[in-house]
Amino acid sequence: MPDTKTLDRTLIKTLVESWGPPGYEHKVRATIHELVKDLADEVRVDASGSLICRMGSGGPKVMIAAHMDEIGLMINHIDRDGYARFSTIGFLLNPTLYGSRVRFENGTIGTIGVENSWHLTTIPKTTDFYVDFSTGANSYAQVAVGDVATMWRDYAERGDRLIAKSMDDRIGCVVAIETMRHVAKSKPANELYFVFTVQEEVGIQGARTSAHGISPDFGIALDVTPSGDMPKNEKMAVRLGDGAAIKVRDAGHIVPPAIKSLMIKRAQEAKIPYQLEVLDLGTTDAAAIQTVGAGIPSGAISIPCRYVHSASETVDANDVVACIDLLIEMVTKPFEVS
Amino acid sequence: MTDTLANNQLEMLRLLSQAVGVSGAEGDVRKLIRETIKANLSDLSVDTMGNLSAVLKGTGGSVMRVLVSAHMDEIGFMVASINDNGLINIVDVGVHDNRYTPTQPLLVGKDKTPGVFIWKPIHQSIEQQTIIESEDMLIDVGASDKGGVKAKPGEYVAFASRFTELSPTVVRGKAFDSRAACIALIGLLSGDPFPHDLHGVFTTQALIGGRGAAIAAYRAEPQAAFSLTGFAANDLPGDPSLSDYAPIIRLGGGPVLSALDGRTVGNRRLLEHVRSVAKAKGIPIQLHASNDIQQPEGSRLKQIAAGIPTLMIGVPIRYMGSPNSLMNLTDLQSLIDLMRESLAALTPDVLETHNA
Amino acid sequence: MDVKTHLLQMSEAHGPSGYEAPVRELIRQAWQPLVDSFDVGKLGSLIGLKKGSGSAPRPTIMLCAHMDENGLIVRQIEDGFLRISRLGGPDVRLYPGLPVMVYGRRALPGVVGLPPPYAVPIEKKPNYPVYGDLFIDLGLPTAEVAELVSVGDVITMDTQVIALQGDRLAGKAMDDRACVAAVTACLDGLSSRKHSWDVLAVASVQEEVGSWGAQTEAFHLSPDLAIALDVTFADQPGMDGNTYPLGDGPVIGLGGNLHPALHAALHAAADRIEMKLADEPFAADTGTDAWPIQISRNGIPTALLQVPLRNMHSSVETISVADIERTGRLMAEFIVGLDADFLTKMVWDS
Repeated sequence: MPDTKTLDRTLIKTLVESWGPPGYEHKVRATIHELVKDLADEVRVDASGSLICRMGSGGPKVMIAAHMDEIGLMINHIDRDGYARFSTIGFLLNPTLYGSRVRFENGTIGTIGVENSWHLTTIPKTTDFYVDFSTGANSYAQVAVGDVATMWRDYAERGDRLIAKSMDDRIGCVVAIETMRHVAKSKPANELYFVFTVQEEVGIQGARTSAHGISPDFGIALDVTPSGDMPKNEKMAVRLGDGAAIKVRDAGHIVPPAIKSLMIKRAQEAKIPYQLEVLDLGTTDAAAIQTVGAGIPSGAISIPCRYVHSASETVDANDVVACIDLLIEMVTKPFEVS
Repeated sequence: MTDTLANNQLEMLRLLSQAVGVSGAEGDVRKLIRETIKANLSDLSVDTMGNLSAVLKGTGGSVMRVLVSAHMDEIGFMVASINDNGLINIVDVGVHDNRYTPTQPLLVGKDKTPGVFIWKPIHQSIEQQTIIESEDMLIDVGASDKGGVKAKPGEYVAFASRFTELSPTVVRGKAFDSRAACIALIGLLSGDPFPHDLHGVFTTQALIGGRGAAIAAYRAEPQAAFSLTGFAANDLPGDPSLSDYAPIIRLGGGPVLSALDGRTVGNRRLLEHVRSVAKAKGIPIQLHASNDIQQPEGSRLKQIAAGIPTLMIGVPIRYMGSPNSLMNLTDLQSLIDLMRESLAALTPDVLETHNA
Repeated sequence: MDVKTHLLQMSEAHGPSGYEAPVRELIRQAWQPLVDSFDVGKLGSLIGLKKGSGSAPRPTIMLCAHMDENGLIVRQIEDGFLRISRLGGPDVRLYPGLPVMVYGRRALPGVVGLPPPYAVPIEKKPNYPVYGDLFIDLGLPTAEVAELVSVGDVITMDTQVIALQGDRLAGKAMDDRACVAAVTACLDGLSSRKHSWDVLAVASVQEEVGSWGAQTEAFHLSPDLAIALDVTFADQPGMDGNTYPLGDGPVIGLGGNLHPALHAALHAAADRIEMKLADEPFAADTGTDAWPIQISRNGIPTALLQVPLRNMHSSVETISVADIERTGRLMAEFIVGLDADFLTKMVWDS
């Protein structure tokens, strides 16, 4: 098992700096495919574009989902002065946009500007923003209506704090991959499906369809959760650095008590720091998995994260390690749920 | 390829546009379509949601199953209750743009009794420059008491619009988003077969959540789906080319492909495929990339079962949602041509699963 | 069978969305003598199968009423007080001063508190109270609260049923346990009558947070027909839109969510036993289990029967027992009348 020293920082940097807005996850998928193809017994891409990796066979089928997509935008109009307007793909936070940079698939970096920027007193609407992709007098980068972009900021570290544009949810992908590396060395008691899902940010779509295709007995989502330890923020018991967050409930998902209890038990047995998460806003792939077909009891291991959906999503390496440890405990030991 | 619709298609469009088929009560439209296609297609069925499905058998060149849906329903109202003065309270079926609503002639209930709105209190809405909402509107069918109203609560109310040809290419009327899609699908089903089986589904309840398409797709189990519909055109006065932000969809600008509709991202590979076919065949196209939801069916289709790669594609319509909207017949013909060429060229390698 | 006592017990049992086990066991006891076998769904719904007399394979009808109630959940513990989040859609304005039960290491009675009026910042008053303002006071020392309660523990109202005059009962969770009682009444009625179809009685979970139990059970059981049961608004002052008198019988839904032929067949059954059956129109979503059931798998013709109720989502939800008994009787009559070729007679555009 990794600790904060041995945690694969190169893997984190590679994944958080990858490009993959919802519906356009192909680049991230190719990167992950390369990383996991020798770890899994079977790897395939399903109709929606999710990458499905099976490890082991026989025993209860457990689906572990981490989403590859990140929030982004799509150009919908370019005016005669060359400024581009956009629609959002996923929930962009308008207060974070002005001055941000975005990156298109071809590598073009655009700057987000806003109308009346000298006189802003309220939060502008999405339609007040534009993307500047000029390259000089009357010349422009190759950007067209329908092109998609993501926020762009490179990866940074400040001690144990890891900062990136897309911790949501590439850090979940990291937890999955690190767990796969561990599982590859042992024989799991369960039939594991590590699924790197698509289009979570636009309505948890990939996890739903992948779960239908796999039809697992249980589901576990890996995703970030907002923390409640910033000044004058929503009261919430989750704190950065206090351990893996075991989800109890979020806006779209009530974790079955038996799954929650099993996660707590596994964390206690292995002395893994954990905290309980009750979240009023947002949900994860687990909400979709749980309600597929005849129902698939599902839980979630959350990585506490500050500034979710900004270009500086911040997690703590100790929490990441705790999440990996907890996931290893969950998937390598019997899935005892009554 | 032809530039304009054949006369029989135009006549069918007239009938379909004027037919009544509010979401949940599409029977009249279904009957019209069934009568039209039953001669050529033996394999017709109606399921528990009232979808009409037809299969055009492939030539055997491909084992794929492709679903093309065209929704039959239109927005309207439902009778909620009738008051003692013989006036009818209604609720919206589907999402209305009530700027267009108050003065429109109506057909009320199963008997299609003519009616008009009255609203309360008019001075307030004028002074405040507000839109009159449905809850402030009542329908008057000319009855003087409760007993004088034939329609019962639960029956539907539709707009009564005359289909009118404004020019050889532009027509005015209602429900073009659904009924033009139906014309296109009838056209595809009536032509030469494709290498693969074409599952044509005329769906119900698209405008209240793509609910008919949900079970139709579950039954058909297609590998790819196209949802035919209409998209709001906004090439309007004020010169939108100068506009700061509005994406521009032009009447007569060609079929519209949905890259983004609300939160529904059009399937990347199908989008690329249809774009390249359009380019090769010289068919003009436009892109819809908006956070405004035009139609929920695409969102529904892509999430059925283990997932269906789906693209929404349609005709531009000015004043969509108004009972007197405008559509260009050349756009409709281009939609049929583009769909025909795109389906003919569709192979499994187009899809993501084959490019892992 | 005593519907009143059965409902009273269910109302006072606890089972917020996702945590329905206690009320499920109570329902299992009530259904035990009336069904042939039980199953529990993956998300916790209870399914009772009452076999029909027809030759196998028999068509099946699902009767679906949800057993979950609105509740609260501990979000954070602050100086011995509990901050809360919602499970479902309880009405925040009705909670201050309400006795509640917190399911910590043991069941802990408490009360919902608010800061005194003079301590409330003036800028908050227009929307006061909101959930963030409320807290639960267990009357215990801070250290003991920390020991006994954890983030994520669930909370229900701790109130008793009030028997009003006539046959009216007021209590919590009548939405939708009144309809579970109607299903029980139906099963009871069927125990002395011959029916050829299999009946799947479902007490579903998690309706208040998205009808997840009904959606998954419709897929799991894949019935040929379904009747969803829920409560609807009874006449009371200040209500806009359609409301229905208490004690005047069940109400049947009408609209795109419901199959017209099934609607007509239930009306015919009501006519046979001379029972009043009011229509309630729904423009689209009925907001009940019927919405997901209708489009499960290949599609399931679905009807919606409703029991009128006052003070929805409160601790004094008020119903008339006669409405429940009638709803049960109507379903039994309909099921007895189902013959082997009923499905083939349900055609569109006839």
